[in-house]
Amino acid sequence: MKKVSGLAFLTMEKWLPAILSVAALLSWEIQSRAGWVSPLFFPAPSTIALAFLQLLYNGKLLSHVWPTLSRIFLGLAIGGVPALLLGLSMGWSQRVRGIVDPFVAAIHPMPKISLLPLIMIFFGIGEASKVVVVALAAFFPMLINTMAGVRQISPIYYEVAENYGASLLHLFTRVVLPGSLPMMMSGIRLALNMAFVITIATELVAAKEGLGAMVWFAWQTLRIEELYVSLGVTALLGIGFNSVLQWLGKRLIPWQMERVL
Amino acid sequence: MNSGPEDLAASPHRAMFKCHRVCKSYPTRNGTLPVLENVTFHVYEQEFVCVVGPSGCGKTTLLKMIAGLLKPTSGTLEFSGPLPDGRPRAALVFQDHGLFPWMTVIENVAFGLEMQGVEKPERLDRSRAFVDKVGLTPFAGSYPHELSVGMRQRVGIARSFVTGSPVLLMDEPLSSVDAQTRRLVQGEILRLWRDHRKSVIYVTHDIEEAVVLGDRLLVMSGRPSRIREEIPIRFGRPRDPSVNGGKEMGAIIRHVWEILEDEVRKTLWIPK
Repeated sequence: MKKVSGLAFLTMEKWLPAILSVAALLSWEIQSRAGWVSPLFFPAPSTIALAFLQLLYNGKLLSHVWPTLSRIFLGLAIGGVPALLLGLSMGWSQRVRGIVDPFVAAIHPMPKISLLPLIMIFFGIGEASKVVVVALAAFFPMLINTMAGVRQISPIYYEVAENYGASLLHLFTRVVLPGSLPMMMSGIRLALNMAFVITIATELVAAKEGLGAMVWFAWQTLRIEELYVSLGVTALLGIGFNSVLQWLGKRLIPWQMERVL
Repeated sequence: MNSGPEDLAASPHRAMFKCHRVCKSYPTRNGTLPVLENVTFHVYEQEFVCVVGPSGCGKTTLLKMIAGLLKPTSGTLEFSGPLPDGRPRAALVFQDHGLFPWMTVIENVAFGLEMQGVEKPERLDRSRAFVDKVGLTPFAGSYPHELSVGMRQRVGIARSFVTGSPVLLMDEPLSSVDAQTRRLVQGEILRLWRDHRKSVIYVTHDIEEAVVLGDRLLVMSGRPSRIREEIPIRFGRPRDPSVNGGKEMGAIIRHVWEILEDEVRKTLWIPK
């Protein structure tokens, strides 16, 4: 990590974005209030903020956020855990890789949202089918990254371990797992982002609750400030996920920190 | 010991390791590629043997076979004495150090003991002592990427010593280190070797390094490699070709080069 001196927060690339965003919001506010842009489609930021507080206060916002979060994390768990296990065995064994690869190649490139109708035939129109689509979307990035993570471990580490008499279990816990962890973490990040996108997309077409559904209802009923609020909250969630994962990555993979120089 | 030269048969120590008529070839698209041919030598207790030869002559292959990572195509590799309890018979120091990037210095050094099932407090204690011996105590908690190349190689050397293996195999451990660091680390290796009475097989392409370090030199030919000559070196240590024994050591270095020059020319296709 780059060492930052005490006054570094005064550098231009730090304060300029903040000033630019404040300026943009301010000019939006003025233009909307003056009626230079349609207040119906571009309600003033203060109006949106007020709507946000109102939705937060009457609980409507959280009643949409929770279903979205639970779909994302259920899908991530149901899709990601098997993907991790299968990915490890595919990385480890050429035979498993040979057997599973054709199926991965066939299903992976398909946009998972397009499978929703088919899945609804099997799992009904309830919660299950939504979670299954999300799980399917999370499955492939996790699988492919884990497999690649195991395969990119340099053979020299296996030789060292073998030379020092490592058992198969030691080989797994001391070489394969830590060696593939960085790629696994980026697999989790991709899977989470994928789960997020697919959850919102599923809710846009097939849910009554959730941030995606909120966006759609706001549009249909022309409550444009609610549309902005739900989009804003969606963006904040995405930013939140990524910063949590970044923090987790630094904790779990300290050897991947940039050189201290 | 019947196949060893006379003066070595008279050595006070017994043979630690015997390599008898070992051949190794690799299958390729155009048939088999012979790498080693009838390699026979002994390594005695507490002896420092240097192996020099042109690059690509199968020195690394030889070490990996001794370490048990590869099997010879024919011939036998034999350690004398009972197998030490769970310790590797021969610990290998890799050319590019082979430290695990996900382990700290102390964890890397303790790795061999961990594999032997030594309890954590004991293995950390024993490893700390060796980290200290190579002077890296302030870096015990650092990760390999935070160290210089020379420091990493010293961690690799400490890791091989701490296991208690009677034979240490070093595969050009100092080939990617700058000349000044190399001289200092050579001194460190010799000190550790003397203090812990190991047998060392040290592969290098640097003739001067071989003469500075070894009790005996094995000069190998190009592929398929045989041992061209065994040269005992009987100077006291520390050796410095530019100061003490300069003439005699210079003569050995020249002699080894005369053997190797042909072989290197052949492998590089440089006509005389």
